[in-house]
Amino acid sequence: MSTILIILQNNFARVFSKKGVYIQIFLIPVLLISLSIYMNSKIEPKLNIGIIEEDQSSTSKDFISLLQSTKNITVKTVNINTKNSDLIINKYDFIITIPNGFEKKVLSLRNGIEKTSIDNLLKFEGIRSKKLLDKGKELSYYYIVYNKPLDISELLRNPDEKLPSVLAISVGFILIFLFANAISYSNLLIEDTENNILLRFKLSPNKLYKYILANTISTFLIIYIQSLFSILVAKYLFNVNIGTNIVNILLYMILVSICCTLFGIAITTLINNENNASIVGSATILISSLLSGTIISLNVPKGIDILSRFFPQRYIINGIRGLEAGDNLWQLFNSQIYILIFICIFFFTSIYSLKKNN
Amino acid sequence: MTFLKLIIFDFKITFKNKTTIFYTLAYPIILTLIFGYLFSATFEIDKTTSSYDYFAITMLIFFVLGYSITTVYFLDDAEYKASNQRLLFSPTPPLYIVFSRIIARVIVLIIYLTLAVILLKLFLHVNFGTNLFKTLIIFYAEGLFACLLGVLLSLLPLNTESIMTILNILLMIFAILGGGFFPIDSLGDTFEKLSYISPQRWVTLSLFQTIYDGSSSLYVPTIIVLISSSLFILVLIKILFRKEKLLA
Repeated sequence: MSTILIILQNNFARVFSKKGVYIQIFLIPVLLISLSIYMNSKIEPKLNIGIIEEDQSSTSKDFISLLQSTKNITVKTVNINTKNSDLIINKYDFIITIPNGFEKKVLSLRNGIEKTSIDNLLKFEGIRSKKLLDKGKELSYYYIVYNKPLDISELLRNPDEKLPSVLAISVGFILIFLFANAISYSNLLIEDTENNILLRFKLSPNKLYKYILANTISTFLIIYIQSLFSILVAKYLFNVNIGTNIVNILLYMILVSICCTLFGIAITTLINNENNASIVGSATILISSLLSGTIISLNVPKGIDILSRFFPQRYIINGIRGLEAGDNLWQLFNSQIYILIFICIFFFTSIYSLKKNN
Repeated sequence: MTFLKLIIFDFKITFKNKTTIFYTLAYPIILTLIFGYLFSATFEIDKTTSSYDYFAITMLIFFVLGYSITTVYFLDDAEYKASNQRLLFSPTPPLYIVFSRIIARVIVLIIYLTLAVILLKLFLHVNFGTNLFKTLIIFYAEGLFACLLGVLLSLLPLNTESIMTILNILLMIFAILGGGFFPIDSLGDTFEKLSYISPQRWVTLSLFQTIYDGSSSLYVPTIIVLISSSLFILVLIKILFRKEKLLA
């Protein structure tokens, strides 16, 4: 027991002697949660319309000012030189060109404009969503015929789309951060191998399992401190709604922290090179987080949905969503079982790699 | 002559380095495939443009900028420790060691990047514009900048893990703000203004404008900024470099 405690003490001293670690533990979670809150407040259905006004008439000006005064619509004048690239980067959902003679046509047709004739009055250009383009046409028709602003929030709302909560976005970001940190702290194992400390340990009468156990516990404790701090900051500093009792979420984060820790150890022991472990690990985390909907949740194709079942982040985020909805830990049995399976996979991978390396 | 020998030596090591191959060749292609497939329904109106066209560009930019991660380590890499020591005891100027490695890394990046672009063009028919060389030049300039940035960060008086964590998060923020994973401009003015701080945004915009509008209004300034920043970083590296770093 004393050997484990000595290694623990030593690892803590090594980690906390580095200046940057305090920024990692205490500052980055605050920044990530602030970013999540900000992102959540800004994610709302919006329509970005680019305008090319060829017909400089009062009718075209009225039409543009109606669009501008509509809530959730942003109107921008199109730069002809960068029109195509602006559509590619989605600066505009679509472009409306008001052609010469627009006023004349509107005045002659005002009482008899049909929805289908909107394409004869205005030119619509878009490359992305057909649905949004059709909504734009519908809106333009309404504004030309009735000449008064409209509340378009219902028109833009997609009933199939569920916007992610602050908690889900925060945990998504923090999860990437925890996985990356787990690799960074597990690098102590590689450092020990390179500095021959592991060899000295093996030549001593101590059992190797004590060394592995102590390293796992030290990484777990640091990761758990980070997740604990992040949740407490989210709850008490930013008043993020975490739905369930805070004890449930803190208990759940123990499982999550074990998963992150063992992932870090599995990657470092598999690659056995400090630099490469960080690089490969960060890319793996990025890809798996994106596929499992940790950063952005999407209605993904079936193939990707099946693929995402092979990543722990999917089940961790599902669990968080459950806790947010008020479920207790028993109701999250399925998510927890899947996370446990990943813990076992990472554990046995680490053992296998360590034996192979030795 | 020694300098050339050092470059060839470092080139051989870096060229065979699996992490470099993954980071510069495999990851951009894999992520383009994943994102392209995930967002395959995005360009539903214009069938001539596909999500692969968008993500091939953004992913290449992301990973070229991320190449700085691989150079953060290269001065104090354990694998180089013994050879560093021998070189420092020889009459070789210490700066030769650093600059030869930088040159070798940039050459390797150029080779793999060109290969990635050719593979993406051949197999996914990604649109890199009519003048492929013009598109590649901006990637190369970004690669040089990223490579030097990594070396500069490794010379800062911070431990490598902290630099890595901060750099990883910064790159991720730059990628998100630069429209690497999804278009940021659609989120409104605030995000658009915030995205001005991301170097990824400027490279992405200049490339898209060059490819789809034939406009060089951002292309030339972006190249000038990347090259002049690289030269500035090079001067900083010369000032900050201490040969003890090679033995750390």
